[in-house]
Amino acid sequence: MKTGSPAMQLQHLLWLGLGLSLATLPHLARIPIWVSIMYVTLVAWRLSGPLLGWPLPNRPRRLLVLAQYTLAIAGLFAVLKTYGTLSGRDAGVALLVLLSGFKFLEARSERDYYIAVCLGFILVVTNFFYTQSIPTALYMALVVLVLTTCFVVMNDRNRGLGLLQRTRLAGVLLLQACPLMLALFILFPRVPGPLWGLPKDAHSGITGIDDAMTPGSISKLLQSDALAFRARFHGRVPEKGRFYWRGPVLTYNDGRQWSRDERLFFAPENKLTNLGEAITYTITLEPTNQRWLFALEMPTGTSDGRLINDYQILRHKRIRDRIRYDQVSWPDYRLNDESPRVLRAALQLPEGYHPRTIELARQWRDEGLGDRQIIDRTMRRFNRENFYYTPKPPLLEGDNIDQFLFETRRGFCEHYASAFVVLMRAAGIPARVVTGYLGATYNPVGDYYNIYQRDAHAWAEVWLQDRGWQRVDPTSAVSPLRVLEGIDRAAPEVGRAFGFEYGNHSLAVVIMRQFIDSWDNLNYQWSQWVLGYGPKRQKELMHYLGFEDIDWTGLTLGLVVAIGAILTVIAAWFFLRRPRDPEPARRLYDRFCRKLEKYGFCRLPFEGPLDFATRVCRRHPRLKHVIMCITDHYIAVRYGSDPGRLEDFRRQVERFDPGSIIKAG
Amino acid sequence: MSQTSEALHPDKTADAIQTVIRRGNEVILGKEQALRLALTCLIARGHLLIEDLPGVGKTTLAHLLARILGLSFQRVQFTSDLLPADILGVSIYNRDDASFNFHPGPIFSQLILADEINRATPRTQSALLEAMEENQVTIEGETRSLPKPFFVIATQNPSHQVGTYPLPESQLDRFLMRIELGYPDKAAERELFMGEDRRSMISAMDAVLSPLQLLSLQKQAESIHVSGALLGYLEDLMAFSRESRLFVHGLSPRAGLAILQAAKAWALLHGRGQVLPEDLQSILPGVVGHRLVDVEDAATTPDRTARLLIENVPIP
Repeated sequence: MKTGSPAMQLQHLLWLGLGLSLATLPHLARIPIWVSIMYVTLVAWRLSGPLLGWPLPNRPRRLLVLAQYTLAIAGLFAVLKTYGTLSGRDAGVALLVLLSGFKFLEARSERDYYIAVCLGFILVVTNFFYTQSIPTALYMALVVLVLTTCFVVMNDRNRGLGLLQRTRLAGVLLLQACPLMLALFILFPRVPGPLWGLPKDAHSGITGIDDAMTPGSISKLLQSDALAFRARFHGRVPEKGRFYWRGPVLTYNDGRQWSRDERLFFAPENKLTNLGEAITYTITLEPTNQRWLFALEMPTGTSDGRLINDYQILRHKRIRDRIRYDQVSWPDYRLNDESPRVLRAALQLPEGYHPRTIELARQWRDEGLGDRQIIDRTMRRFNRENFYYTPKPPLLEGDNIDQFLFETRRGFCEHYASAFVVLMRAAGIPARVVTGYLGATYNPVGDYYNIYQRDAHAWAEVWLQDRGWQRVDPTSAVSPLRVLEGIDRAAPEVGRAFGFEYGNHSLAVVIMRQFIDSWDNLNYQWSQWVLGYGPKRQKELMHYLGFEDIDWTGLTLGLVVAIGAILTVIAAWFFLRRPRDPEPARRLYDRFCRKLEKYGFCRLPFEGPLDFATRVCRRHPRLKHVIMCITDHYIAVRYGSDPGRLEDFRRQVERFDPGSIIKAG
Repeated sequence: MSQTSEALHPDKTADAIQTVIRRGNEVILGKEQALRLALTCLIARGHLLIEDLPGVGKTTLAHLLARILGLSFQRVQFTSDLLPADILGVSIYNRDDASFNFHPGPIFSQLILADEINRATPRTQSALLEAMEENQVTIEGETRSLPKPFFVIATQNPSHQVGTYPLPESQLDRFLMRIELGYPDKAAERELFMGEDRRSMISAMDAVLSPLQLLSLQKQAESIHVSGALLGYLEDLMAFSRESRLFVHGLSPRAGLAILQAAKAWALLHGRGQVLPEDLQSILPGVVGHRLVDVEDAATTPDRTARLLIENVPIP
């Protein structure tokens, strides 16, 4: 048997390789290809020795070490060159993957092995920088199990356990850690702040509504199945076709693109009159890396953000994590008494652009048309004069408004909204572009609505002297379907997955739909209760448990108490489950052995009483009499049929003092 | 020398055993442990398999035991053309009284030495092994019981030697113990060279025990006390052999009984009234050596196999 040897054996290498590679696997698609290749090469290099029987020096050869160091430094520089930095999410992960490869390559001793396994756990954590979905969590749980099994494998020195038993032991270890993990998860003080934030570059590549709009900026979102946010209504639900989720309001036009006018970011100076009934709902917003929140028109103030004059809701910082907020909206409203500077801004047109459009508006005004008539005329024009609604409009090269209105006549919502607003402004009617989402997909399983990126939309608002701000959706003149039935119906050529054509109610589709809804609901609950468990949720839960206004010191105290309680329960369970040795003779004998232990005689666990006594007596013949006497009693009581000698045995053990006998000699 | 034919008084047991061992040691030099194990095996009513290279004293040991214990002795040299009838016996027609007379084979002696058992065909091997198991033989429809005590000492060459039919595992199990003798040490070998011929020494010896006394020893061994603590230890050992992946199979319940039987006999041999963990450990190489197969090294020695088991199981 090669017991106790500190060197790693092939099975250790294979387990370690498996654990590290499983943790790295999802990264391979994210890191540069050369890092992946290097990692695989390093792992293969290390494994090639023992697997193919290539000689692997037990002590590292100098040349080999030199080659490894050179490679490592080269890798470091390559990462630096690729990312321009060594910190941050992407560069850090690439570096970590390389490091784990090198650690695996040089792993020889037991210590290396443990370090490499710990590196594996860190790799598991880094995966969550990219995705925190349920499949990822399940996969990572598996990886954690494998890595924990690596620990078991190294400590199973006699190879006494089979594959299943090792995995089961690791599983039991992890399950035992679960109560502690839950206590930490629930009670650890959640502080909103950078402590919990992801690395800065973790939010790149988020698609969504932008703070500026150019032709094509919304139609490109049409390709995205990504979730924008979820909404759950408490009571009243808006009617079909009125799911206008208000986002950035774009007032400024530079001739090419629309953007927000930050000079107008002040508290409302107008007057919102609510008619009818309010709608209350809760939104769970996916990270946007932007500052605005989405809400149904027209929103009122919210605790999570600041309402500004054009009824955008702005948060004090960018939304980098999924957030949840309650919102109240009034679908029937009047917005009057606008301040002059806002109206002035809503008439702005860039110098020297859109001459034909301006000419058309002037022509209409010359005909003596009023504001409403101009709006009607425009809508009629969109409706009757060969305008088409298409997600793939032709490219506009010159003056985009003029070209669209008079030549191509094919466009998406942003074309219609911006052309409409320019035409209104040219006619002297204050108008602005509103972007956001239109539509919602109901999930009957979880009773909530999903709003996807492909629901992105742009519409217009015009100011009428008597009515105040009024929503006009020019798209509805071209494609009423878009407003009433949603984007999937209006632009079927985009093609949704699984071919869910409307009207297809075959059993397979219904089952599939049901499955998709259930899975989506599971994700919703996951984001609500696991990922969304932040300071707010924690407070709510504590409130629910009866702890009002608990602060972080209280939470810390609770955490300590909870962990203490859990450990006590576990300890008590272990203590009670394995009843103390019922045999008093055995306990007395252990006491006897402990007394001898102080003088350097340690009874091996498999050493019988007679063997032990003989061994001790050989070293200290002086002790022979008393030790043999005690051993004799022990044998008689425990192995013989003479329990009556127990008391005698107890007295002898109590009196036993090897020190005095040894010293006396 | 107590040459009595009546049952042995318990007080004299230790003396008698000491004498047996002392006399044995005079002939088989430097192999006290093997001798003790062999004696233990006989007292535990088990059959013994001795496996080793030719010429290390297997046959001499068997001879010696038969002589000291005063048993009727037959030796059968197993060869590839040996037939079952050569062991069991045959009926021969007698013209005088016009009937078949049964001529008992060597199996009807108290101790038979089956030399080089793995050279006979499996058919002949199993005739012997059946007799060992049943303590009786059925020949031509008539069941005849074998004498008491009845022992088989089989010797076997290591199976890697050519021209052998190795015993399958199920038949190895019929032997309570398998022991190896090994080469003697230098001093013992020198004494062997200097001393007189072992064969004539044995034939000049007197029996130390009578068969009746041996039977009474067997009875005494059975009544040796086994405590719950010791059974717990045995259970732990068995459980480890089954649960760990060190061995191809675990120990069977029959193997457990064999361990217990042998440990009791060993305790008796050492003058104890109860079985100690040490007794169990001492007989373990003999009892489990042919029952456990090491996963990593099938050709390991019985001692190593036993140590693997012992050192992994703490005494409760």
